[in-house]
Amino acid sequence: MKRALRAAFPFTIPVLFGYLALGFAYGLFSVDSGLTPLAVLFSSMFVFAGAMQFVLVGLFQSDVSLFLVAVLTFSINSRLMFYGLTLLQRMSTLGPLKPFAIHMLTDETYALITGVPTPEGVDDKYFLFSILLLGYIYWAIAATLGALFGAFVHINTTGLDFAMAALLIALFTDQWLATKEHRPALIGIGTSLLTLFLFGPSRFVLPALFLSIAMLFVFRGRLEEVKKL
Amino acid sequence: MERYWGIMIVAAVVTYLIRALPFLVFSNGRTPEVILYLGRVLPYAIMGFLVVFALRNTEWADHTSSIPIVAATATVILLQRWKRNMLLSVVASTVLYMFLLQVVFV
Repeated sequence: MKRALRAAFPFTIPVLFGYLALGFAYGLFSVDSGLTPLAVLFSSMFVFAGAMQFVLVGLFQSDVSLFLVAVLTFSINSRLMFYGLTLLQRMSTLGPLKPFAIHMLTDETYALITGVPTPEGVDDKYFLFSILLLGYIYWAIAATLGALFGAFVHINTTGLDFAMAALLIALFTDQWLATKEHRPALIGIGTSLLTLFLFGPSRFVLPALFLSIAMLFVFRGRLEEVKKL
Repeated sequence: MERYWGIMIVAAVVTYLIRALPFLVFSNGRTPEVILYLGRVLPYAIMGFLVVFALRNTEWADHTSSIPIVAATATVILLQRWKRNMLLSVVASTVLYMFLLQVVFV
């Protein structure tokens, strides 16, 4: 496990930057809106979903019903269920760690898990778990620091959140260069652009992912030979 | 304060159930062949989706928003192709993006 953590750490540095910036901003914003640092830490530990946590800050001050909270949570986080779907086998050997691994899945760590090949001599399941665990720790620490010290620190971080997008684009580029079969990637981009254009940035996620899956089935006969990641 | 905890618990439980859903559905016995197929090809599509997702809020018609995004995105892709160094690609493009936003297109 220690070896896997050491092997995973360098790959997670871009996530560290991104989470530090976003987590810190989240902590600062929350305390500004009246949350306690402890509430920020709990939200980061038990909800652990960046965009949703920002929305929650607003919900705490509103009088919406708990049912609506559940519906909102589902619509904002629904993309997360597709990640586990492709990791069923790789995560099946995690044993008692599996429930925790499931809890720690995010966009960025999922991209790392599928984009970075496990180094030689490192146990795949521990490598995967290390990436998830490091991301989880970065976020909790960054959010709490933001909550505790945000008010005293004055750095212009405008644009720092691009680190997250850069990481995803870099991983996409790597994956693109590693294979000659580009149709699955093109399907992902094409359906996302189409649904983004049709439904707008806050509503395109589920249509994009379901349309992707539908297209992957349409091309199934010709894509069957795609090698496992 | 009670209401606060209620909201937190609902959000936490729903988020966990979303993450766990595929594992709950396919918990007993063997995973169907169709799902194994998705496990092979869907990650590529999801990565494409995530790129669009990361750039979804760009105001393409506003050049003070689109030029920095296009320049930084091109930087990531070209650097990554050239050097294959994740950290370099991320840091260089993010610094460029911050510089464009904070200094050039203020």
